[in-house]
Formats: sequence, C-alpha cells, structure tokens
Amino acid sequence: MSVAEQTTGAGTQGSTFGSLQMRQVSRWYGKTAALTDLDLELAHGEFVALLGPSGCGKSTALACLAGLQPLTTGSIWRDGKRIDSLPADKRGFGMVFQSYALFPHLTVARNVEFGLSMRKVPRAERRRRAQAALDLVQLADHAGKLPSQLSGGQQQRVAIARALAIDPEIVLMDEPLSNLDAALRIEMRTEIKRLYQERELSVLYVTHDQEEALSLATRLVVLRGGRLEQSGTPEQVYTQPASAYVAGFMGYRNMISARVEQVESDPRRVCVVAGDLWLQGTADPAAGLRAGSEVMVAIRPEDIVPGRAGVNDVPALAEVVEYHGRELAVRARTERGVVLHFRTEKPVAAGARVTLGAPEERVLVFPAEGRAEVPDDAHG
Amino acid sequence: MTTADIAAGPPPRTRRERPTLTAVITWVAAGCFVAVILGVLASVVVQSFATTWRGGWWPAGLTATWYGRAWSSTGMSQALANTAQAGVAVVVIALLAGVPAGYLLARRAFPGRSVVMLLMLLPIILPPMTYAVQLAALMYRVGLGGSMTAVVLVNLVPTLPLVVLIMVPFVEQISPEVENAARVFGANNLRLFSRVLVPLLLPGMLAAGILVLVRTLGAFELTFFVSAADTQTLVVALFGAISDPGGVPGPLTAAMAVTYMLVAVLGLAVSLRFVTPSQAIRQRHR
Repeated sequence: MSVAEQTTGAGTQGSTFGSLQMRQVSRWYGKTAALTDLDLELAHGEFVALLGPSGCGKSTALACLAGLQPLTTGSIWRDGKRIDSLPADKRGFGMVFQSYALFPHLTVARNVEFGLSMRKVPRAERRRRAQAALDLVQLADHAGKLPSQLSGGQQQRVAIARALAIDPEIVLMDEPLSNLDAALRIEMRTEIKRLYQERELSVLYVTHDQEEALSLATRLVVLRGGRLEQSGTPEQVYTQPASAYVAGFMGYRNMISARVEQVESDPRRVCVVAGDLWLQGTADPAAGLRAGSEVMVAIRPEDIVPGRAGVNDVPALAEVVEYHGRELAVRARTERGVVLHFRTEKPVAAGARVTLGAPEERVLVFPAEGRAEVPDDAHG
Repeated sequence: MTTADIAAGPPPRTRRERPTLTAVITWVAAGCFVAVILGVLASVVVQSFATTWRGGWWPAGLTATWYGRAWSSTGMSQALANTAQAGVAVVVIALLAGVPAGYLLARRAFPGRSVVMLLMLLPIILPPMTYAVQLAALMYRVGLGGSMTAVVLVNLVPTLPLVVLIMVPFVEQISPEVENAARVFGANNLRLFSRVLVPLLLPGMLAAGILVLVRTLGAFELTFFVSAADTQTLVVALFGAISDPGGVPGPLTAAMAVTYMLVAVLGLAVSLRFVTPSQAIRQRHR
C-alpha cells in the first residue's frame, strides 16, 4: 500500500489521528535561522494558535509542517510515523492560506472539489461532498461563480470549504483573517470557532493577532525569533505571561523600565522604582531578581484603578482621554514623566488630576531585556 | 424644441463638441497613412490580375491565369507546405521549451538572472541579418545546410527567447500560494502543471504562439541563408521570383505576394480566434 493511499484512507475516516509533533525543528535561510529547535505538539481535538510578530518564524513552522519548505534539522511525527520526508501532496492536511489562494480559473464548486479530485474520488461523491462543504460555509448559492466574482470574506469561506471538503483530521491555517476588514474578521472568527466545534477538528492556527489567538485557541504558543517563548492555555498566557516580550504582546500596554529596590522575604514580592513611581509587584522567583536589578514592569490598562486603591498609589495628570463607549481610555503622566495608560468607566476630563493604583499581583515584574526585543506591532 | 420637452426636464445635450485642432491633425494623418497602405495593397492585388499594366491607372485587361501559373511553375505549393511545416514545428518546439524555461526564470532566484534575461533580449532586438550568415555557416558545417531541420533551428533562435520573455510576467502573476495550495491538496508536479499552471498560463502561451508564428512566417534572412530550393518558405520563394534576372513577369510575383498575404492574414485570423485571453479562460470552465 502506497503512502498516498494511507494518507487518503486516513483522511476519509476521521478520529484516527492522535497527535502531530514537531521535534527540535530548525529551518535556516542561508545564514539566518527562521526556526530554532522548535518543539510543538498538536493533539487530537486541540486548537493551537501559533502567535508572534512577523518574522518570528510562525509561518515558517506551518510551511515546514505542510511540507512546503524543507527542514534544516529535526523531524515531524504523526502518530509515531515520521512524515517530514513526505512531499506536501502526500501529507493529507487541509490548509487555509492568508491570500485565500483559490484557483482563479476554477469555479467555486471546482475549487472545493479540487482536493477530492486529486484523491480520485468518484465524481458523484465529489459533487456531494463539495456541496456539503459549501453548505457548511453558507455559500451553496455561489457554487457556479468564479472566485473573482466573490468578496474577500466569501473567498475565504470558499478556502475554508476547500480545506474541509477533504475531511482532514488536521487543518492548518496561516493568518486566514488578516486580509479581511475588522467587522468581517470578527464574524469569520466566530465562524471558524463554530466549524471547529461542530466538526471536531484539530487546528493549528498561525496569527499575529493576540485577540484572535485568545478567542479561538485551546492552547497558545508564543514564538520569538524562531524559538518557543511560552506555551499554555489562553488564560495562563494572558494572566501570567512568561516574559516582558509575551506581556507586550498580550495587551500589557504599560511597559515601564524600572529598578528593583528591594526583594521581600517572599521572593515573589518585589518593590521597584521608576522615577516617582514606587510599585509593589509580583515576579517569578526563578528570575533571580535582587536589589538593583534592571527590570521591566508590565501592567494592563484595565488593571490600573483610578482613585485611592491603597497600594501603589501615585498622583498623575490625565493627558489624553479617548471615548470607547462603555469606558474611557486615558493616557496619564506622573509628575516625573512616567506615562501610564488606564481604563475607567468613571468620567475623567483631560487635564484632571487623578490618583492611580494597581493591585500588586497585577503588577508584573520581569528581568529587563533589550528594548528592541519587545514586539512592535507596527511590523505585525 | 417644444414646450413639452422643456416640461419633461432639462433638454438632452444635442450640440456636438467641436473637434480640437490636435484631433483634426491626428485624424488626417491617420487617414493618409491608412490610404497609402490600402493603395499599395490594392495595386498589388490589381496587378496580380492584370494581363499587362504599363503606366496608367488601370491595366489593359484582367485575367486570373497568373495564380495558376504561380501555383504550377514556381514551386509555390512546395513553399506553402514548407511554410506551414516550419511554422508549426517552430511554434510547438518554442512553446515546449520556452514555457518551462520562463517558469524557472520567473520563480527561481539565482545569481546572474538579470544577465540571462538580458542575453535573452539580444536575438530579439538584433536584426537577424547580423547573425544569419554565421548561423547558416554553422548549419552547413554540421551538415544540416538546406534541410528543413536547419530552417526550424535557425527560426528558433529569435523565437525561443521571445516565448521565455513573454511567459515570465504571466508566471509571476500566479501567486506562489496558489501553487502551494495545489500541492497541499494533493497535486503532484504533473498535476500541478496540467491542472493549475497550464490553464492559468494559457492566454500567455497563445499570445506567445501567435507572435512566434508571425515571426516565422516573415523571417526572411534566417530562412533564406539555410534553405534549399525544396525547403524554402513562401517569403524566400517570393524574393527569389522578384530578384530573378530572367525577369519573371510582374503580375506573377504580385500573385505570389497576394497568396503570401492571404496565408499570413488567415493564420493570424485563426490564431486570434483563440487568443482573446478572457475567452480562453472562460472556455475552460463552462
């Protein structure tokens, strides 16, 4: 039995897939490393989001997995079988691309049938399954159209239908929503989650959007410079980022350079100073902070409370107030120039004096690293 | 204008715009140009039907016998067959070699790529006369002189690079992600080529094919130096007849020229029937 038949067979039964693993995978372009010793696992039924700014290697990881790029070192395993030497057309993954990558010369129906006709599925069944996939993404009425006659959102739904038509056990998605406008992106995000739940898929999803990753994934993997930075449930990564880099990516908008004043008897508790800001914060004891260490303090805008909180109080001047409907987003500055972003539901006017505080378990202290390494959304 | 018109709303603008001076000059110049070409063509056609035509506006008498003589006496049928044979062979070989070459040139980055592209341009922009003689000498040296193979080979020299250069932008237009998608969904190299690339490249291939055909039909110098009496194409035969010191009658060469024009126009018309790119795509998926 050839490999092709094995993959095709597996692709049509469902539920035989246990886990997919990348072990110590590296990928070099000339002398630069896009991926370094990456270990990644996707278990049956998981929705894993690979998160990071552009250039962090997340798309390379997906391309290696799909067989579109060779590995420099390492291996890829599927249920104990090594698959990294299989060509892309024998791996049997469903895939959704950032640019949709529909075949422009084929109708919507033929696009969706493509994977099935490559697998030599008889015509009648091919039609039936393509129709079912199009029903799933609510595009049955457009089967006879060409991709160029559809809107961006519709094209991406066709791309998803094409990936689902082959009944794949694993679906790879490479920033599928980044070419859509904001409203459509949220709608399609819900749609992807619905399909994931209904079809019991296993999904590996690449994105640079933390909101997308948090809302979709059952597990989050943050990459940095081709290496794994943190892996965990969305809640773990969101509330306990492992580094200033991850925190910067997870919506900790206040990233303040500071110095450790004192480490308390409980090594989790540290006191740091930045200008006129004296903060009681929380640190990982493993970080080995001591008095005098340069650190980065991360606080989410929603964790800063205006009005006397009793801890970490500091007076500040509200500079810029943005109306966000349910709440206000405010940029304030302390007397010695430390900028703080916070959110509040109470009315604050620009130019008003406020006292800001934050609970010490929400003031996260990380060892300082080069400023340049903190992700910059402008490149995302 | 009646009151009813006014009541119905603003009157339609009926006043024609006055043509500008530039427009007038352009149209007159274009008219002269077309008139001269049509005049020359018409004179050739008239002459091919003339019994004798010495000065004056119209020949002494009309006859259709020149076409019969051209057909029987000057090896025209042979030349016509040669032209068709060489044309088809050159188009097929140029496409078979040029499309994959164009694909590689568009997709693979390698050192010296721009130099290769520049070298490709040379045989296209150089007048064929500059290398026709040397090329012919080479053909005779390798023992192919006068053969049909030689005619096809020398005509491939300017046309193969032409195909490559035409195909490069057509390939670049296809997103690499589309190719990746084809692979991921199970297409091996052969299927990727036949089911995705060829249909997408078809308009470019047809355009390239037509240009190659036109160029081969009209390639005089290249064919002239390597062909023998039994392998010459229509243009070469035509030149032979005109330059024959024995004095082939004028109307006879005119008849040959008209035949040549008909072949060229017919070939072009048939090709253009298929080459409208949108049509070519639409036919693929009724």
